[in-house]
Amino acid sequence: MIAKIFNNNLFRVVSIVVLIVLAATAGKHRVNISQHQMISDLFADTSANIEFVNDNKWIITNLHSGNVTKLYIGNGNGYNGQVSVVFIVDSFNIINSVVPISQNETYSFFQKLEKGHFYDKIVGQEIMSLINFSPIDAISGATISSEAILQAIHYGYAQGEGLSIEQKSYPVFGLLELLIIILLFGGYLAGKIKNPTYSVYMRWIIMLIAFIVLGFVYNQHITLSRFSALLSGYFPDFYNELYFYLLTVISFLMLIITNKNVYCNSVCPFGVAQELLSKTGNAKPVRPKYHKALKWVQSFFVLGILLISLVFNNPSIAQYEVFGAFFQLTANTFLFGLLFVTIIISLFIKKPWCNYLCPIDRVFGFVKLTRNAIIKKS
Amino acid sequence: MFDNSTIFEPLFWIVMGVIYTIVAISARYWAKDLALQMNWWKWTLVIIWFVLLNITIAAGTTLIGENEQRAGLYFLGVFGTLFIVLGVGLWQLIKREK
Repeated sequence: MIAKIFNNNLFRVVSIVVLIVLAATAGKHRVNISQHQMISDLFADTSANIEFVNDNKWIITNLHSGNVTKLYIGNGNGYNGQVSVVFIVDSFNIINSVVPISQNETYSFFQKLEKGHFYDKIVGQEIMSLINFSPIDAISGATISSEAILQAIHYGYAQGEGLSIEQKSYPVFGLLELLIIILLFGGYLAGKIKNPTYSVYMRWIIMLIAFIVLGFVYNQHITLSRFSALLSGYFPDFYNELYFYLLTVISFLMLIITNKNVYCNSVCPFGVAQELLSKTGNAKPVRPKYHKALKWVQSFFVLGILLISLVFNNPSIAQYEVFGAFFQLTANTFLFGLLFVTIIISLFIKKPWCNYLCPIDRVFGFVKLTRNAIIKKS
Repeated sequence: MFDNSTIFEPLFWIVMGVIYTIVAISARYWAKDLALQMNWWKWTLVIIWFVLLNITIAAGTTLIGENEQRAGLYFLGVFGTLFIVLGVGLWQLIKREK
């Protein structure tokens, strides 16, 4: 009886959803220090008088010299959630210092800002010229985080001074967005071509374009941390990150409508990398006796790490993919090691990462489970 | 390698030379034992691969020895992995091509 309940797809789906909702709720109720309290604590032992103006602005007066500076706090949209930045502007409207105080970005990527002297480039800029003319380039490989910092300064200053914020009125639709649509539909059509030779050719063309453009040029993948961020209530900026919505929504819709996982089969750049490695080593698809057990381990691991990231309200915990290590050479030592092992195994066994380690495989697996449970029920 | 030793330094390089000589001489017989049908371009590819692999190991470990651990490990990680992959590909090519 109990085994029958556990084997019921709908029961599994509902259980996972309940766990996710509970974890997300717990994460949201974690102690949240107010910004006001945080700023007061920062200057607790200094000889400065802090005058609260509004939620984004404080006036700091040095009791010895009488110097007056303004402190602002603002939020920008990062990769894994909001990036909060504190910055100080002097009486000549020159930025004196910039400090990110709260962020959930992937550590190895966020570190690039420090290494690329990004904050040093902001310091010394006149605040209005920084906002109006954007004279600072984003750090390569950490574009979203760089833009989040600049956006936080922009929004923090505008909200602190009561200025209006100019929002984009339409989403950015460029080459990347167009390419995502072409790749996903092309990947689907490749599976529909009846002639096997043409089907294979078309699939390989799609895969190679995805490998080069999505992997090396744009470094865009579906990652678990993004889902964790979404479940925590953080939605990436629709106007600037339309590609994320296109990639995720079209991939899911295709799976729901056609029951085909086009993203994993043809578009995921790291999946293509493994296919290329398996061609190099003439690897064979292997389905070990304990395949089912390994899939369960993979599912539980992904669910566990997702729940932990939700409870701690920190999506970067869920980012253990090796995509950044492979395509950008940016990761921690553990991920580089994991990538090395994956590459070597991929030479002899077909797609080991996709089959037993990838969290996205399990996310698509969950969508498929839900789809099948609903279809069966109805 | 052994900066402060007058014995180990030359000994080390003599042993290295012996190992390389053995590898070079025995490569022919090894290919024969494995029934590989080698020709001039296969030997060229094998030699290029072997030399580049050795340069990678030498350069990476030299960087580590010169207190550039991070650069050395990056170098070994990236190029070492690349040459392992190329080596496997080359092996498939040598095996397949008649």
